[in-house]
Amino acid sequence: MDFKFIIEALPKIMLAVPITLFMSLVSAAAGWLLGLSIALIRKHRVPVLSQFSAVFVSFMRGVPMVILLYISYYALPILLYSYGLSIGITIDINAVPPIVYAIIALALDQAAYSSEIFRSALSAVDEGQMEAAFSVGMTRTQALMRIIFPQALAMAIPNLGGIFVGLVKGTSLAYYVGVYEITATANLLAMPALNFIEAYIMTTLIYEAISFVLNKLFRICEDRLKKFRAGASA
Amino acid sequence: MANMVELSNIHKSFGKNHILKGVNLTIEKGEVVVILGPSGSGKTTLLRTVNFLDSADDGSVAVNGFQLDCKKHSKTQVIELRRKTAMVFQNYNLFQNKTILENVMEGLVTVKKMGKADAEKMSREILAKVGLSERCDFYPSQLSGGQQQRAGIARALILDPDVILFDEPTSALDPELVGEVLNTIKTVAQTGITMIVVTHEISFAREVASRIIFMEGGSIVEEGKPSEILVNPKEPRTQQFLKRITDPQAAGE
Repeated sequence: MDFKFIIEALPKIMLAVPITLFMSLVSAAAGWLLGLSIALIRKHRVPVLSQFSAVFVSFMRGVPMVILLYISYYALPILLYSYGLSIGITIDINAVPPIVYAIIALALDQAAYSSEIFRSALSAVDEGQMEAAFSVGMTRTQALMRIIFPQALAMAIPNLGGIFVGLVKGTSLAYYVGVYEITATANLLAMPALNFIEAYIMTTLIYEAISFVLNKLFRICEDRLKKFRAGASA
Repeated sequence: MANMVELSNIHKSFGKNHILKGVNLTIEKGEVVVILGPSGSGKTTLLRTVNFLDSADDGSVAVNGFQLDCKKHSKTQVIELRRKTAMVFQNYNLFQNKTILENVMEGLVTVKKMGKADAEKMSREILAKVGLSERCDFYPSQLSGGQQQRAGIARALILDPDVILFDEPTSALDPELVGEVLNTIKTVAQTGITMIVVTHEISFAREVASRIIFMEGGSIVEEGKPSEILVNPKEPRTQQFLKRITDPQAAGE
């Protein structure tokens, strides 16, 4: 063990933690919003969009994350560039930082997986809740926002916590498209003196710590959201 | 227009199953109409067509002069119609994520756009009337069925609807809890509000109804005052039904 390396490298790797968390949070926020929309589209069997969503989810489940990142990183800029040309503007592809492509790929992946979680959570809410909301004169949007979503979210949160921790670990793949998050930074630092073992032990511990804190946070959320299911205890 | 509810030629099918076969029903302001009938006769479906929880395939529904064609209507019209009605459900259907107080306030705040302070004051008053002052801050899952149903009645009442629809309000209750809910409904009936009640409680119907409607096979078979229908039913099918429901021995045949 090269302890001198560990002491020197650890603060530098820690500096990459915010990048990992930023990537995770943004992809989760965008992905889950899309996932919820997909869940609603499929639940209400919206024509065309519903079939399109089913194919999308099935496709996303089959494609390896790394490939998805490559597609986003290599293919998307070309598409964007030629689209730009077709409407008469030259888009400077190189000005777009790689993290954007990584977030797009991760968000699409989250959308597919979270949509299934939201779909099962939404169908687990009793039909009578929507009817009751209608009976007092609410619109569908009001009923969804005030009655259905809060109940569905309480049921979805444990699974969302699971895929979020998976997402944080998944961001390490963004290394392949040149985003200097935790894993990439550790790798870079390890290279000159071949301190790979030390670097990987540190990254493991950092991911473990993040995962531990996140699990705790999601547990707190779950308890808060489920307070209405207190049973006869109070 | 003294007619509070007017159903004309209501047809409803679920798939191949023709549930309602052209029902006509006019209810005047202040009437308490009790709908009786065997299960599958379409009474609950008829009730649900009034506030478009089940949209009828044909016919028209009018509540307090606001008429809607069942074939041709907009979402906004349906919402407007629903805001003239309120419903009490068989399974209570209280909003599970809200306390009893919030359940009652919800319609006032979200639909009627009333201020929270006023809504809370009104809600507490009405919850006191149904005997739930002590349970305001409980969640539905923490209450007995009878308490939940009384909260459901409070949630409907507070909207000051033109008509309240009761869909088998005591069917899901333990027998010893039926009384408290029926008493609450009786108190509501005495306030002169228009009510349509689907129930199997014959003695309750006798006490509270101003008119009883007997349905079978998707049509109204017979209607009249409780004294007529329950004591001297004219139609053989009504006689049969009442015999079965009041004489458990005959039901076992």
